[in-house]
Amino acid sequence: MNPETPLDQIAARWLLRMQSARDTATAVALDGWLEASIDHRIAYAEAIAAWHGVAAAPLARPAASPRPSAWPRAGAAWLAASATMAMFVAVWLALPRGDFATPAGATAVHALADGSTLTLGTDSAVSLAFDAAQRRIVLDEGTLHVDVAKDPSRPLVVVARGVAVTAIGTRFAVAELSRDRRYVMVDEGIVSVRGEESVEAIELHAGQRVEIDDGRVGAPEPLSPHALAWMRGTLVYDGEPLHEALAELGRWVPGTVVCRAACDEPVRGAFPVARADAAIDALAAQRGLRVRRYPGVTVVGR
Amino acid sequence: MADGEAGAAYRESYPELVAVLSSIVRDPELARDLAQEAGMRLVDYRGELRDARAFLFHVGANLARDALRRHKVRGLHAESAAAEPPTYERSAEQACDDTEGLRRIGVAFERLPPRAREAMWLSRVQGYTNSEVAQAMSLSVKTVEKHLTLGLGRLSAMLRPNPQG
Repeated sequence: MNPETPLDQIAARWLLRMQSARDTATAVALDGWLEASIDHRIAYAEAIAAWHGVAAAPLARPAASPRPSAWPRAGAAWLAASATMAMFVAVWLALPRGDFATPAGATAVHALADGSTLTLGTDSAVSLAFDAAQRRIVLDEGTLHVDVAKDPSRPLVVVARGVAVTAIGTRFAVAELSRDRRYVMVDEGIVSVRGEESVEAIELHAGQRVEIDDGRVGAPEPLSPHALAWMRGTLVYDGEPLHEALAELGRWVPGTVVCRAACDEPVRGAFPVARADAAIDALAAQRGLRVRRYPGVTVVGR
Repeated sequence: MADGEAGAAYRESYPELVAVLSSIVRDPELARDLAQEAGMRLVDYRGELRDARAFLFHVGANLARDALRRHKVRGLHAESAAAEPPTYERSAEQACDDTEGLRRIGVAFERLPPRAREAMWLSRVQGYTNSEVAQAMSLSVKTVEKHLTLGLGRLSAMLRPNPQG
């Protein structure tokens, strides 16, 4: 049994205050209190967990209580209180996302002053830092294809988490597979790939791809002919395991796509990028699976 | 819990859940991850459950608490709290943990002082407003709020996994 601290009571008081006074002033004051210390936030999280835990758990009725009745639930108060909180959230959501960005499901083509062309895949963001010595592009998230204008005095470097790719004049792409994994894919010419954890850079040629896992560069593999089909508006699967296809499709729809069954079985099909949702349904149907959609999560399973 | 019912509760509560969790973890992206994990836990939950929406806030707030604790232990580097996105794995095992978690609430609830327990029951289970609780218990609203605060603070302490963390 843990001893109760004064903070437990203070957090409880804040929660009850938010229940009864649902005005902006209370919400602002609470937000200031939460901002002040991580211990406040932990205590408040525990108060919320306990408050809602009591409503969720199957409890024994205390002896003194009257019989149940059809009184209305108190949900509306909480709802109004959190609507005020949502205003603060909206401010945090407005964070900068680099010089160019795309939302889930979109692509964008940008012609740069040096003659290079950037194609951003779904849910991607890049920032540019060009100077006299180097053309540096930071891929903050997602997928970027670069058609590099030749300039031997000023190499173009794409930097993503764990990897830097240098080119003089060529066409290549860097794609995010997960938080720590990237593909570098070359469709024309040669690039130099250096992992954060590698001593030496490797050369990657047209028709090759390499995986970078947490800063370590793997061995070059042949590049599938449809790996960059998204640039022409199509997603093509030709025997890839279901989980891989879903991971990519997941980048084209809002939220996360989770594979719960038959994840290693191969799937096939070509789908327009604009219909990634329908593609998920079609691939699931191929393996006899169901698709269930929740906010932020699509689950493919039995 | 039937999947359709859980899914509906989750869909309905999601924006509000994300807003509340954001105010706690101060990171909208992490808040969305936690809300989604709570949703998956609800969908996988097979035990007895009185209120699906409350379950989401209960599980979500616990996940937020755990994330903040890890964050605190590791030091306050901005990226580290978000470094462990939920995995949606080991659902059967997790569902057992959730059943156990709700059972522990029942045990802790039994240990509350009688008036605090009754006020909490009327408010959280019957859904009474504070003035309705006051009427039912023949107390002033102020006193009811005191009992609720006392009860809630005690419950938070009793449900804390371990004293230091």
